[in-house]
Amino acid sequence: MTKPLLEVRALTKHFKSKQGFFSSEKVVRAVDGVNLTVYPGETVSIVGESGCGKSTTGRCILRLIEPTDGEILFEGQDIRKLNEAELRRTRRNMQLVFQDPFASLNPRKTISQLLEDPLIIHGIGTPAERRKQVEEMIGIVGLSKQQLDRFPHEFSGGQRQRIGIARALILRPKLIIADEPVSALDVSIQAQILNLMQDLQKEFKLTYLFISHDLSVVRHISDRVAVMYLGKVVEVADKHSLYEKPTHPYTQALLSAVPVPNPHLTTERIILEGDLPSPANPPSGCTFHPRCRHCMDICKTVAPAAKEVTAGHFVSCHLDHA
Amino acid sequence: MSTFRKRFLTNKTAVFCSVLLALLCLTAVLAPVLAPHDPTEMFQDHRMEGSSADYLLGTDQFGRDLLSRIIYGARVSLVVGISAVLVSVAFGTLFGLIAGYFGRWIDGFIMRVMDVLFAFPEILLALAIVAALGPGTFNTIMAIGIVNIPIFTRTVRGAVLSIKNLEYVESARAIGASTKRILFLEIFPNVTAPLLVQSSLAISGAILTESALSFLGLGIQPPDPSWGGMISEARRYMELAPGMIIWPCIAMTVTILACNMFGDAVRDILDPRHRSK
Repeated sequence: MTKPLLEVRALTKHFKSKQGFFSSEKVVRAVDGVNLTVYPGETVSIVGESGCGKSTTGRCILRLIEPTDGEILFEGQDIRKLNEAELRRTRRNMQLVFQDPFASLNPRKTISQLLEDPLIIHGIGTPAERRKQVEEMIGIVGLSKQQLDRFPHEFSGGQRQRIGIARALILRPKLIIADEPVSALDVSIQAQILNLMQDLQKEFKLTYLFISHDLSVVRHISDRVAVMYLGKVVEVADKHSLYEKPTHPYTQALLSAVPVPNPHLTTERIILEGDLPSPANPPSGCTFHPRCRHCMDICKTVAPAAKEVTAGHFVSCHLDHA
Repeated sequence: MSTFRKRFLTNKTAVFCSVLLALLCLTAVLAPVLAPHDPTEMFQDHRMEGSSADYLLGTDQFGRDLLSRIIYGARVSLVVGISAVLVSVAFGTLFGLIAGYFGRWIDGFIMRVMDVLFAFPEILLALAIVAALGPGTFNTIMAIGIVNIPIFTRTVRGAVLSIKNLEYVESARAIGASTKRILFLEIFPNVTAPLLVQSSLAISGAILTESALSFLGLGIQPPDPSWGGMISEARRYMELAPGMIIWPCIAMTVTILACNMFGDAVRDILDPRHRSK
């Protein structure tokens, strides 16, 4: 097998929160031992409901949030061991596309400034060369160079997201972490942006780590999918295997909630009981057990380890899936 | 930015005050041309006279032309007011950026120092600093500048706190920008609006403080003309020559009113939610 581009081992992020002066410190386990492997050229998605730690995972990989523990190997190099200057150099190869295209572009900068910034920061080219690259990049994402001197507020959400992608792409990174890049957009625009991202992936041999809560979007773009629940990855599999044979009860429930565009097809909807438990006070054993339909005694005490049910399909569950 | 220009031009107060302030600045710059006499020249035969063709606003107890002294006084007031605010803006911005961005103990330390400065009445603190540094134009500027640092630190810190968690700051970090770059090129341009408002309001305060210091004899030293100094001198001759105290007071009132109204108008323009009916 090819060497992985990104390998995340036992990534953990605990936020400490202290409510009052006298209350004891609470630890929020936002990310709790995530393992993830991303191979060059593929798209791996992380799905999960809000608050499950998927965005935190993405930011920890880039060390925008300092992880509490674990290893992040990017091309075999542990990101966590880099000092500030080395980290900044490495960020050239891993970029982030943000969820909210209205908040992620500095309102005081023109588009050309926004696109040129990454080049300036990494000391690439002369002003003329940079200008050329900026003009080229704006064309690649489907905007015209006449729009370069405008400010972000003069663009629509979809156009802004194109600018956000251009800004991430201009450094020619190997890995792009896309944190819900389309969830703030209209459905029609979502498709355009997703198609753009797929085209760019082919053209620039990009690897995506795609974070989303939208299962149909994930199905469209991913090669492999990781399902997160309460800071843990509960199931990883390639797209077809996961969507056709979801194994973890949580994944089954999630997939049964996806609307099917066929009124004659009745599917059994698995309704999850109860609310998402607080990551500050996660349930014992398997964190999903209070909401699981197949809950057994062992689930309440022992956290399940990941096991491989079929080739490349990992699941963390005590049920017998053989 | 073009909407700002449009809103500015349709705001009557803003336009009126900026014209007034521009005229004042022009007067200050062109003082040697505009003033009919040397502000320190004493016409011994014309002491404490009322208005006349030669001395439009009359003369003081030494026979110096009041109009010329007020014109030159505008120079002092504006130079001291603007320089002092520049000093406050420079330090206040720096401290505010650092306190707001880094947070934790740095924030705590800077803000507690500012709280201590804030706790003193403005004039008292300025007096103490001038008393320590000695009187003179430069020391007056520094004293007033230091007194106003806490206001700017707070203004900037507040803005930074709301901006630093926005995604574009994170985006800059993700791209690999250094902290310095993030502070000055990403965050700073977005705090200029509150800074502008605070500055125009602070200039009037600075002019007032300068006059107060000069009134107390600790600011601009005679024979250099300053409005505060003129008012102080005129006190003793108020009944004999009321013009001596009235004219500098009017000059000061108009200047301060213009600065304040300008600041208010700019705030309304920049923040429509704040607009008073």
